[in-house]
Amino acid sequence: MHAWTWVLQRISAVILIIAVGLHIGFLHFSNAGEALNYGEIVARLKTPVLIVFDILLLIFGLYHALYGLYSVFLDFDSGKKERVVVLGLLVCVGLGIVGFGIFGLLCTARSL
Amino acid sequence: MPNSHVMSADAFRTRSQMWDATGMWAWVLHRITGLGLVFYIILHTILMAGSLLSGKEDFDSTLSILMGHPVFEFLDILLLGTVLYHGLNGIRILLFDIGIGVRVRTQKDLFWIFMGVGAILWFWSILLKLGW
Amino acid sequence: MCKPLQVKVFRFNPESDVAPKFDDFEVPVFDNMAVLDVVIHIQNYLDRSLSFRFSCRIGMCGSCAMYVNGRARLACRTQVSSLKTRDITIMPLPNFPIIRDLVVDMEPFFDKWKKIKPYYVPKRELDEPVTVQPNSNEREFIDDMLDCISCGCCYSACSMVATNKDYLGPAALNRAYTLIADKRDAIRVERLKVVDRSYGVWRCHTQFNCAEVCPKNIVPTRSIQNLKRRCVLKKFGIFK
Repeated sequence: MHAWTWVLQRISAVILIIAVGLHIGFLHFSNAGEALNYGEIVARLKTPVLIVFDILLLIFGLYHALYGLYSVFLDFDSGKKERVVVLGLLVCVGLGIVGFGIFGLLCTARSL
Repeated sequence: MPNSHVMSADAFRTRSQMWDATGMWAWVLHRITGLGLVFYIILHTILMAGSLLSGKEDFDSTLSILMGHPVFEFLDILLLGTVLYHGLNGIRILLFDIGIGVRVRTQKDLFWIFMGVGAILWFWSILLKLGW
Repeated sequence: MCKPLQVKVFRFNPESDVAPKFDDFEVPVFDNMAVLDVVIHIQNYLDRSLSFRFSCRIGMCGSCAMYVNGRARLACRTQVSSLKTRDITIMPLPNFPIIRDLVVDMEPFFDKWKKIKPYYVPKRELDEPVTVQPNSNEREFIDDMLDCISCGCCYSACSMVATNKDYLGPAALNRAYTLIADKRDAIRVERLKVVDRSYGVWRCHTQFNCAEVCPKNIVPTRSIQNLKRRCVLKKFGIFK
């Protein structure tokens, strides 16, 4: 299991370096000093590519974050049972947050 | 009494670390920033999706606080530093994974080069943020 | 002449002491004095009850590793002058159970060493010996990594070993790589399975503490990185 998840951690790292850079650049520096408003977000979500971009950012970001967290957990002594419980918990948290994020994005995109 | 002294000795061992090694501190900081970012990404997703779902007024009032209040401006700069550190040290780690710079001296040089780049980017983005 | 050294030595006897303490000694300096000479002087002239381990005195047996001024070092290969101070603190290697004073129990280290099957297993079906060119990249890499004297310095410096008692540690993983990289070895895949575990290569987070302290200038991190790559290649079916 570890070889696959480790490679995915590295792949998500490469994607995140680019995607987070773009995310921060577009949303925070293209109009420095002004607060974003709802209208701008809705206008932005008219482009399907950007919805896909946001969803991918969400998925890779949370995978990277939660696998990182699991890795911290593994660095300390743990029993088999604890590992299963923690992994299950992290998967649930991950799916829940990704689901909620995607739901939020799609609902906003539909309310044009 | 076979090994009885070893058994009692096992109760004690020193936990001293390498306090003067760049690589270890790079990792410690990577981990701290990483944990901070895990916390942030979860909060950020829930807050953004939540306020988008609760409509225009809520979203605009939340965002005007998050992107206007001086405290959040300061936290934003801190967040940017955290992302820059984690990202740039992350590139250093990715280089090790493809076999570049895996030497005692080189890994330190790489660390300081990336930190230099990070400091410049951070300074530049703070200036941008202040509207220069 | 030169001022004497102020030496603080860690003392602990689990059979009689409740807690460890430090003893202070004043040790005269001589030319080319090594840390090993310091502890030998203490034992000969100041406190006969001081326990420590050493054998060859020329840095090839790997038994005199100690934690000297914040770093794991071979006592025999560490010149007092290289420490750049007259105050010397000597402690047993971290991450090991302490038997007495500066003597640690190497059992956990060698248990892990055994786990990776640290011996060469020849391929039976070969009629002709396989030749690994002495000047090939592979040979040169393995040669560097074979210098290990299993002194335990890397193991004691690794913060992953400090937090995870199952982690195989730099020395065992380095040894595993020298064998896995050897084309003539018959149980490479089996070995790779042992290191491709949570407590194997995947606990290494490239902190380089092991390489930092290695008295033989080995970089176990390089071996571990190579092992990680081989584990991934094996998953993709490229490494047989």
